[in-house]
Parts: sequence; C-alpha cells; structure tokens
Amino acid sequence: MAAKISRRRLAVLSTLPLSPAAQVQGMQANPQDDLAIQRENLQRWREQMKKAKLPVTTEPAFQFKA
Amino acid sequence: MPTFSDDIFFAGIREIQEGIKAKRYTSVELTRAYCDRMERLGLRYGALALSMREQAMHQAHDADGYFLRDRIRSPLQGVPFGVKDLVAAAGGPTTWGAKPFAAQMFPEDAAVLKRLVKAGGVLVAKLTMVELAGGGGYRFAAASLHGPGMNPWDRTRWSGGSSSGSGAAVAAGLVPFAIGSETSGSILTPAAYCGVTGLRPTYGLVPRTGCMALSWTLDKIGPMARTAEDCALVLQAIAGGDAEDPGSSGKRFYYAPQFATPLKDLRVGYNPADFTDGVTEETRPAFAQALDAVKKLGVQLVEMKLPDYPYGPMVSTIISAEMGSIFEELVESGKVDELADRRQIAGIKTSQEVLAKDYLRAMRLRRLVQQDFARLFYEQADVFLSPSRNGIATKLSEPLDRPGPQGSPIIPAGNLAGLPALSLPCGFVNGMPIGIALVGAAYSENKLLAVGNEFQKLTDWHKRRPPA
Repeated sequence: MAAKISRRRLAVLSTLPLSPAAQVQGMQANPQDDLAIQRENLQRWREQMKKAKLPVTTEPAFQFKA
Repeated sequence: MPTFSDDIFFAGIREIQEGIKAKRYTSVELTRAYCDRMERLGLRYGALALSMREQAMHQAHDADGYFLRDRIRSPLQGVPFGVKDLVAAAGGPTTWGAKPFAAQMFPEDAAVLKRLVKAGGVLVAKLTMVELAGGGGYRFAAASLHGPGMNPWDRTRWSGGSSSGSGAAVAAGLVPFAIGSETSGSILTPAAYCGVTGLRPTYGLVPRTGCMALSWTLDKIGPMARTAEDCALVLQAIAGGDAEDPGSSGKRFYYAPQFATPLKDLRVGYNPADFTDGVTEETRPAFAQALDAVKKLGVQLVEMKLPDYPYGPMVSTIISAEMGSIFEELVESGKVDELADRRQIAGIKTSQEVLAKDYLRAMRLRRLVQQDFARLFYEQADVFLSPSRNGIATKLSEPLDRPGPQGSPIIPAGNLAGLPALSLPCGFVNGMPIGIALVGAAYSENKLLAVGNEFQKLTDWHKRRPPA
C-alpha cells in the first residue's frame, strides 16, 4: 500500500530542488567525454602559459605572502 | 515576545544590535525569529545545509547575559549569522557540500567560527556550497550535495558559487551576514549575483584553520553582508594571526574609516573596455550608470589596463595541482564518483595528472604578477574598478560554460596576487542584481571599504529586497 502524502508535505517537497543526481542526469554527456575535456583543458592551460614571457631567474611564489 | 517585521531581517549589524541595547528585543528572541525564518525559507533557496538552532539559542542566551551586565564585546554581540559548510562547526556534520563527506564531523570549531562566537555572534545555520568549492570545474549549478543554490531574486537562476548559500541567505534576509570563502571568485560571484556586499580579504589576513582546503596558496575566508561597513565589522572580528595556519600573515585588521584617504585624492583605475565589450549587451547601460555613480564620488578616475598574463590558465593550473594532492585519497578510493557533477569528477581525476613543471611555471609567473600589481598600485592607481561578473546570474537549466564576453580578468588576477577585493551591488538588469568590484594593494581593505561606504551612501542598490 502506497504511503499517504499530505498536501502540506507535498507543498514542501515541491519547493525542494531535485536531487543533484536527478538534475544532472541527462544534461551531461558521457563521463569519458568529460575526462577528455578536462585533459584538453590541462593541455590548453599549458600552451597558454608557455606563451607568457618568463625570465629564467624567476623563482616560484612559494612561501606565498601577499 | 516582540513581533519582528521584515525590516529587522534586512537591517544592518549596528541597527540590529541597537535594538538589543534599547531592549526592544533580546538576542534570544531575535535568534528564535531568525531560526524560524531560516528553517522556513532556507530550503526554498537551497541555502540551508544545517540549522544550528539549539546551539544558537545557548549562544544568544549568553549574549543576553553580557548585555544585562552592560558588557559589549563587539558590534556582533547578539547578532545571528551563518557560515559556509566548509567551516568546521562541532556538534553537526560539515559536509563540504559533497556526498562523500556528508557524515563528516569535526571535534572543534574552525578558528574563524571561534572568533565570531567569542565576539558574541550567534551561529544560526551552516550554509550550502558547491561541492568541494568547485575546484574540479563543475558544469551545472546543481553541483552540490544540497542541490543548486537558488537566487532569491529569481529562483530559476543560480545564486552563484561556490559560496551559494551564503549569498542567497544574506540576500533573502535569512542572516544579516555570512562567512564565505574564495579561491578564485567564490565570494565575488555570489555577492554580485545575489545583490549583496562581499569582501575577499588579503591572503593570509583571516585564518583558515578548520576550513576545507582547496588550494593552500589561494584560499581566503571572508564576509558577505548587506553593506561595506558590515563586512568591515565582521572582518575586524575574524582577522588576525593564527599559528596553526601556515599561510597566516600574522596581521590584524582595525576598521578605521576616520583615517581613510579623502576620496578626491584617491586614484581609481579602470579599463573602459571592461564596462562595454567585457560585459553582456543587456547589462552595459547599468554598468555605465554604475561607473557614473563612482565618478560622482569625486575620485580621480584613471584609464588603465591590467598587465597581460594568462591569469585563467595560471589560477586553474595552481588550483588543479594543489587540489590534486589534497583530494588524492578521494580519487584513489573511488568515492570521487559520488560527486554530483560529472565535469567536476573528471576535473578532480585529471588533477592527478598535472605536471610539476606546469605548476612551477604557474607559480613562477605568479611571482611576476605579484610584482607587477605591487607596482601598479604604487605608480598608477590606489584601487582598480571593474564589473564583478560579466552579466546577471545564469539560469539553473543552463550550463555554466556557455560562451560569453571575455570579462575583466580581475578575479583570477587578484586572487593570484593575493589582493583584497570588495564587490558592491551596482544596479539591476531584468530584475537581477549586478555588481562592481574594487581591488586594491595587499592590506588595503580600509581603502576599499571607504570607497564602498561612500558608494553606498550615494546609491540604494544594496537596500533593495528580493520579492517575498
């Protein structure tokens, strides 16, 4: 027998967001595509950083302080 | 029991405390009203992660005791607030917005929370966030254990991220102020999208002990509130050295508006293109009006361009590399697959593949960025002004990686250099708020806040309330 849901409960539920999984399913492509996209991003970032001038004596900003 | 009108839920920190001092209500009564409101509306905006009602009532009771003895520890005493769910709070789960950490408990409060409670603040709720602060690069607003953050101005739109709940809760009058965090844009974005004021402090000014780490060299904790002054009052309570945070600068912050540089002597740099080509077409007239409002302050406006660096790739590489180490175990255990957003899962997985040489290149370039910005704020301008975001909040149904105008790089640039920023509501487009951001030299928070205060005296965008 199905559990009864009161109108009040239904009103509360209707304002709740769908579960993340329910929202995301169907909106996103194959997980392998996402991995490929993220790997492409890493590659793109590498290439764009290589275009910036970087004097050989520049040390990394370790022990970072503003 | 006093009845509270909506006015109290949209009042500033000082006004709220004045009511307690004048005995119009007690902190216990106020806290009960805020808890009721939070529990009634928090889920409606996807902002409530956990109600802290029981603890809040104890803290409010303590605060009332101090008021009875005429002891005022700070302007925050007796005032309710919320924190992003990456701030550890003993007595309840701290989920980091992510399913794999849904049952995570910490034995003690984060340093920032301890300071707020010591100042007399009353924690009423933990607030939602994008899972793991979105470091993996999420594609949908629903990338959270708690679902998407909904914008109080239009629930079909996003409240921004990753401090989604903090932005929505302040905008909807669920708390007078909230704590958010920023690695690259997570305070400024929800502040702009929700029409509230957000302050990203200088790196190292506010301790991160007990808060989730996403990127050790970029993470900052900061306030989101109704006004610049409220942000200042909160920052004063939470700033200061912490031996347990290796990034702590050991510096304190004293809000000193009386010593602010006169606005007529202040050089405000801006790039005109940021206000035209850099924003969506529909928002251009509103941003032009905002720029006019800044001109009316009497500041010296100076046209300039930011130094040219690949800011986006740099900040993404650094976050990816540091996050890759932080969440290595999450990936190896396979629990990363429990996250809500597939692009985010993929981003965290591929963070394991970042090359050391790429991270080092980003950190070496970062040194140059820091040097250039230090020079810029000495030679050319005292603060730099730009739109906080290039448009209004995204629709919940739309992916976040839609192409749009190439906005100002001020968010990644300012974060790379560890500089403070203040986002101010500056207008409305189709009923949705937009914001401008002021960025200054390291530890120039008082300067930014002085401009923010004057801007908010001249405008009323920060006073508008979302539809009931």
